[in-house]
Amino acid sequence: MKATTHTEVYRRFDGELRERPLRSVTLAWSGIRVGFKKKLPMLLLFLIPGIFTIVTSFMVQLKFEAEAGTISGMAGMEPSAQTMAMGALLSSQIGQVESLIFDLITNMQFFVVLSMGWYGSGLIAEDRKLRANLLYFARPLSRYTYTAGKLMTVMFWGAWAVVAPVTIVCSVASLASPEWSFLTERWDTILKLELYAVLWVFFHGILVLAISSLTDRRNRALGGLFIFYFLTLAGSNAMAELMSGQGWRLLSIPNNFKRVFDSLLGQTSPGIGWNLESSLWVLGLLTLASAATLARQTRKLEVGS
Amino acid sequence: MNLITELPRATWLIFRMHLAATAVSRRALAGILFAAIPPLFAFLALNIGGDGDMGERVFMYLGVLVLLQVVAPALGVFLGIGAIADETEARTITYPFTRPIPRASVFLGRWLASLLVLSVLLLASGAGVAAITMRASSPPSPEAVQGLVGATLLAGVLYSLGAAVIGVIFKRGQVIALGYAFAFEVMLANIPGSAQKLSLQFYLRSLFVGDDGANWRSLEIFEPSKFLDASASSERLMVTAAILLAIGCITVTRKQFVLSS
Amino acid sequence: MSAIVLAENLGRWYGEVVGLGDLSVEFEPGITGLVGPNGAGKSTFMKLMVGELRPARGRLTVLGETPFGNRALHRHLGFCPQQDALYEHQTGRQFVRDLLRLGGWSRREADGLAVRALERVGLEDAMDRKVNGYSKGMRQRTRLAQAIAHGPKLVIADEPLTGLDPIARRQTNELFRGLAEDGCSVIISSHVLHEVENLTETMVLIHRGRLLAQGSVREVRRLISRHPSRVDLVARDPRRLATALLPLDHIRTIKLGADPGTLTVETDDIAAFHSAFAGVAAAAGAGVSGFKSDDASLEAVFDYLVG
Repeated sequence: MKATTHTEVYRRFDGELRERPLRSVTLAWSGIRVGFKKKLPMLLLFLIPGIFTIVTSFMVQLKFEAEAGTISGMAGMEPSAQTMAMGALLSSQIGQVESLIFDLITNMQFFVVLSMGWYGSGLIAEDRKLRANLLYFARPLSRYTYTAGKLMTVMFWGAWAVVAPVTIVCSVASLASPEWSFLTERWDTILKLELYAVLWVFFHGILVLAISSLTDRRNRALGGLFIFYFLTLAGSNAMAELMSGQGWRLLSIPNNFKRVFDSLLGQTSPGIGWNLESSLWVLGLLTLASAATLARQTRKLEVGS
Repeated sequence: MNLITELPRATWLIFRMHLAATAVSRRALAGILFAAIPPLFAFLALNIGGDGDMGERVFMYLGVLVLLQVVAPALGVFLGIGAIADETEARTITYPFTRPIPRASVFLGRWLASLLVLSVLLLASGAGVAAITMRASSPPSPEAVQGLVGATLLAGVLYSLGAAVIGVIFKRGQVIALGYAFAFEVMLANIPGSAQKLSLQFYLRSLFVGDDGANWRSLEIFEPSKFLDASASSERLMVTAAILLAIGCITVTRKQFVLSS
Repeated sequence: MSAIVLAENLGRWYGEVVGLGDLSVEFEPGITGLVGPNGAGKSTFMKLMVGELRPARGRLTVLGETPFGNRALHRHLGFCPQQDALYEHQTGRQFVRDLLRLGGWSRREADGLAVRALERVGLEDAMDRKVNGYSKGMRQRTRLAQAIAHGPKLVIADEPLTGLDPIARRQTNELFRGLAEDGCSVIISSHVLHEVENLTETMVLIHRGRLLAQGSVREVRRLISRHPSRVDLVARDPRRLATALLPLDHIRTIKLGADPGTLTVETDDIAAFHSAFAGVAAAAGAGVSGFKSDDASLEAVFDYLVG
C-alpha cells in the first residue's frame, strides 16, 4: 500500500458558490431547535411578556365593552345614559388600542431585549469560541447566508416576544370590536402596528448579532448589549434634562422607536419633538454600523477557516 | 480543623491570589471605560451647551439616573458574577476544592477581590462626578455627595454579591442577574404602589434623599416617591447582604460542581 | 494490607447518563492503573475519590475517610485532573506555591516545596515563566507538580500521560515509581492500555460504569478460562507444523494465515503449550522463524472481557 496523507479535512472552498437562499433557513432552524431544548429559560423569559399581553388584551376587551355600553350589564346594572357616559369615560381612560400596544411593547422591552440577548448573544460568539466557522465555511456557504440564518434565528425569538403579542392584541381588538370594525375599518392601523413590531425585532436582532460577532464569549456579548442599551437610555434622558435639549434623547433607541411609532400612527408625544428623519438617521446609522460589523467579522470567520 | 481560623485565613489567601488578575482582567478594563462615562457626561453638561449654574442638579441627575441606576448594577453584575462562575468555566475550581480549606473561602475570597476592584471604580466615578460638579455654581452639598457616593458603593456590594450568589446557583447566571438588575427592577419601579419596595434601588435611594426627600426634589420629574428613613433603609440592605452571603457560602459548600469536559 | 480506597456499590449519574453503575472495588497501596475506554467512568470515579462529587448511592472511603467535604483528608491527597486548566496569570512556581499555602504552609516553606516539586517534574528552567506560555506537556507536568508538592499519601492522576511525548511519558512513569518507592500510593487512569502496563501490573478495569476485572494482568488472564490463549507463528512450512501440533490435547484450533508462512494457534493451556512447543517444532522440522504470544497483554485481556 502506498503511503499517503490526507490533510484536506478543513479546506477553503475553491469551487463556485451557488447561492441557495434556503440554506439560511436550514441554518436558522437548527439554531431555533437548540433554543427549544431548554424549557426553563423559555418560561422565564417569555412569562412576563405573556402576562403583559394578557393584561393588555383584557384592557382592549374592556375598552370595547365600555364603548358599547355592555359593561354596565356585566356589572349588574341596567343600561342608562349615566352608565353609557361612565363607559365612554372608562374607554377614554383606557385609551386607544395603538397606545395600549405601544405601552405593551415599552413595558416589556427590557424583557424582550433580555430574551433576544439570551438566545442571540451566543449565536456568533459561540461559533468563534468553538471554531465552528471551520465547519460552516468548509461547505459552500457564503457569509451572507450564514448571517441571514443567524439573523432569522434571533428574529424568531424576538417575533415571539413582540410580533406575536401585537398580533394577539390586534386579534382581540378585532374580535371585541362591534362588527369586527377594528379589522374592517382600521386594517391599515393593524398593518402599521405589525410593521412597527417587525422593524423593532429586525433592528434589535441585527444589533444583538453584531455585538455577538465582536467577542468569543457569550456572556460578554450579553453584557455588551445591556451596557449599550441601558447606558444610552439613561444617559440620554439625564443629559436631555440637564442640558434642556431634546436632541440628547436621540441617543436612546427606545426614544427613536417612539418617534417612528408616532409618525406611523400620526400622533405626537411629549419630549419627542424632533422630526422623523433624525430618528431614521440614527436608527439607520446604527443598523448600518451593525451590518458593517457583521460583514467584517464574518469575513474574518470565513478567511480563518 | 477550626473553621473560625481557617475560613478567614483561606479567604485572605484566595483574595490575594486573584486580586491582581481581577484588577487587570478585561472586565475591569471595560469597567474603567464604563465608569468614566458619568464624569464625562458631567463635564459635557456643565461646559458644553449646558448651564454652568447647576452643579447640584447635574450631580443628582447623573448620580442617580446613570451612576446608581445603570453603572453600579452593571459593574456589580459583571465583576461579581465571576466569583465562582469563572472558576467553573475555566475548570480551575478543582484546585481550591481539593485543598484543605473551607469551600466558602473560595467564594468569599474571589468575591472580595472583585468587590475591591468594583469599589475603586465606583468611587472614582462618583468622585469624578462630584469633583466636576462641586466646581460649578450651586454645587451639591457635601451631605448629598457623601450620601450618593456611599449609596453607590453599597449598591456595588449588593449587586455584586447578588450576582456572585446567582453565579454559584445557576449555570447561566449572568442573564438572570442582568434580568433582575435591569428588567425586573425597572418593571417594579413602574408599577404603582408598594412594588418598589421589592427593588434594591428603592432602599439605595432612601439612603441619601435627605429629610423629607429634600435631595430628591430635582428628580421628582422622573419618579415622585415616598422613601424610607435612611437608617431603616441601610439596616434592611445590611440584612439583605448578610442573607446573600450566607446563601452563597452554604450553597458553594454543599453544591457539586460538574465541570464540562 | 488495608485498602486505601474502598468502594461498595458505588453509583453516580448525571441526569439520565450513568457515570458509575454499581461499583465495588478495593485499591491496595502501591501503583494501581484504573483503565477503561472513554466514557467508562474513570474520571467520575476519581472525582468521587477526591471529594469533588458526592456518590448518588453506595459507600466510598479513601484512606479510611469519606471524601466529600472532608478538608482534613485533602492534606493527604494529591489530585492531578484531566482538564488542561491552570491559573493563566501565574507562573508555574506561583501556581504550585499558592496552592501549597492553601494547605497551611508558610510562604517560605511553600516556595521551597514548590521548587522541589517543579524540579522533580523537570520544570526547573521554566518555573518562573507564565503558564500561558507553556507547552501542553509542561502544563501537564505543572498539574502533576501541584499534586505531589505537599507529599501526599495518595496521588490520584487522571490521564496524566495524555499529550506527553515518549520521553516525557517515560519521565512521568519514573516519577510515579519514585513516589511509590517513597511510600506514596498512586492511582493513575488511562484509556491507552499499554501506557499503564509499562508502569504497573496491578489493574482495575472498568467498563460502562462497572467493574470488569481487577488484579495483575496475568492473573486476570488466567481467570478468563473461556478464552483460549492465542499464539501467532511464522514458519517455512506451516502445514507441517500444524500437523505436528494438532495431536496435543490442549490445542483448540489452528488457522493458517492469509500471509504465506503464518499460522495462529489457540490453546487452553498456554504454559503446557510453551513447554511442548520447542520439541514438537524441532521434530517437525518446519523451520519456525517467528513466535508471538502477547494475548496476555492488557489490551487483549480487555478485548476478551468486553467482547
